[in-house]
Parts: sequence; C-alpha cells; structure tokens
Amino acid sequence: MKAIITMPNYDDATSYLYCYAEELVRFAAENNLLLIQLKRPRLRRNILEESIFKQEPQLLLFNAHGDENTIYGDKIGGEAEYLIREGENHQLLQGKLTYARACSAAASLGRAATENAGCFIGYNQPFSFWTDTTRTTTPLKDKVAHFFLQPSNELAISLLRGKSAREAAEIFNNLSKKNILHLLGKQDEPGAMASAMLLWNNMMAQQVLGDTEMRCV
Amino acid sequence: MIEKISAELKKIVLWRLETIPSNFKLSVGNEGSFTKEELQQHVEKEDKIGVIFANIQLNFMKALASGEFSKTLAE
Repeated sequence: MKAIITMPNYDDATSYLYCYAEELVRFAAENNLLLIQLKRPRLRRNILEESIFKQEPQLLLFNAHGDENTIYGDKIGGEAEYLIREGENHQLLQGKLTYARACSAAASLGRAATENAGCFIGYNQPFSFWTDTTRTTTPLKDKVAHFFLQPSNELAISLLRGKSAREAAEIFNNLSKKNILHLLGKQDEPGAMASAMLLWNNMMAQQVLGDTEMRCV
Repeated sequence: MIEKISAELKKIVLWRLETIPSNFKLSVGNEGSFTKEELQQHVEKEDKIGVIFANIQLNFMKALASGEFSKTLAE
C-alpha cells in the first residue's frame, strides 16, 4: 500500500496534529508501509499534486486546517496555502481513500471529491479539541487533548491496516464513546463535561462519503 | 445551526464556561485557540467564535434532552 500524509506545524492546533501524525509515521515504518511524508519545506501544493500523479497513492491522510471547500497545507508568507480546493483541484481525490483530520471539509469538498469514485472521511463542522495549556510544548503528554486525538489516530491506523472506511469510522466512534463514558464517570473532575461535549460534537460531525466499503490493500 | 445567540442561551453558555478549568484551551481549526476568558469575550460579543461555541453547547444540550446522547452511547 502507498499513502501520503500531510504534516503542517505552524500553530497550536497543527503542532498537536503534527505530533499525532508522527505516531502514524512510526506505525507505518514498523509495518513496512510506504507512507510519504509531506512536511516543511516539501509541504507545498505543487509537490502534493506531483506526488499524487507520480506515486499513485491509494490513501491520503490530511492533518490540516480546513473549511467547507478547502484543505490547507503549510503557512507560506504568512498565509496558509491551499492543498486541495473544490473547483480547483478536487479531482485529485477522486478514486482515492481520503481522511481529512481538518475542519468542515466534508461539508462540500468531500462530496465533490467523491462524486464519481473514492471515499472521503472528514467532518462537516469544525474538528475541535481542548488542550491543557501546561502541556502545549509536549502534545503527546497532554491527557486532555489525548481524548480527542487518539480516536482520530486510531481511525487513520485502521485505514493503514486495510480496514474499510466504514470500519475505521466505527473505530473512531467507539473510541469516542468510550472516552465520553470515561469522562461521565468523572463528572466531578473539572472539565470532564466540557470534554464530553466536544467529543460528542466531533462524533456527530464525522462523515463517510462515497464508497464506504473502500479499503487499501 | 444558529447564527445569533439568544439572551437565554448566552447565559447558559457563559455559565458553562465558568465551570471550565483555567488551563483548558479550545482549538477550533483555523479560527485559532482560545482560553476560557477569550471564549467568554467571544460569546459576549456574539462573534463567529462565540456563535460556534454556542452551537456546540446547544447541540449537546439538545442531544441530552432528546435522548439521542444516551441512545448513541448505548448502541
């Protein structure tokens, strides 16, 4: 299996996503999977486009900021560069299995990208998470953020393992539910309900569009 | 999805924010990351971030009230 992962790292949110993406890179290396990493300075739209054309990956893992029509990459000259934008180059995703750990891209871009073939897993609302301000320099030790980012990492690992999009999304939902139940058992702990609320929001926002039985082999 | 925060909802959202620990920061994609105090200001101003946070709170309350939350967890 061949896959591409994007790894921006220029603000609080992307630094957390970057550290969790590194876990996926480690998993791929341990399992002899070819996971092409796009990070600064190679995290550019032209390089992504070329990589998709030349390498023909089956799986695309985006860690990114996003909106309804766009998945972004790195910040170039103070502005986030778009990697995939509806109406510009969204056809690049057709026929691919895509997971966009990004805000809102499933609302419109995901639908356009899977019109003819492929599958897009993403969120139709902002993908939000709480962080612990005392842990921002060590995201993997941030237990608050772990509740949110662990389920999404397990979703990506499931896809790398060859699970179908539907199965991977179920793993995300089951882990999110498990985390919510854990938090409900700690209702007296400050922030527990606030975390349960956001986990619920992310669960409800997750969408699997297109061929839900698609998998990478 | 609401686009304005009613006075009643604002009160509830601000009260809920009071219960959030001061070391918590909310990351909302490319909108940025926000401390509890910053979220309170955005809700007071009813700007985009305030509306996003109020919607998250409202959707959660609706799911609790309708039983959807319990049903989903039980499935």
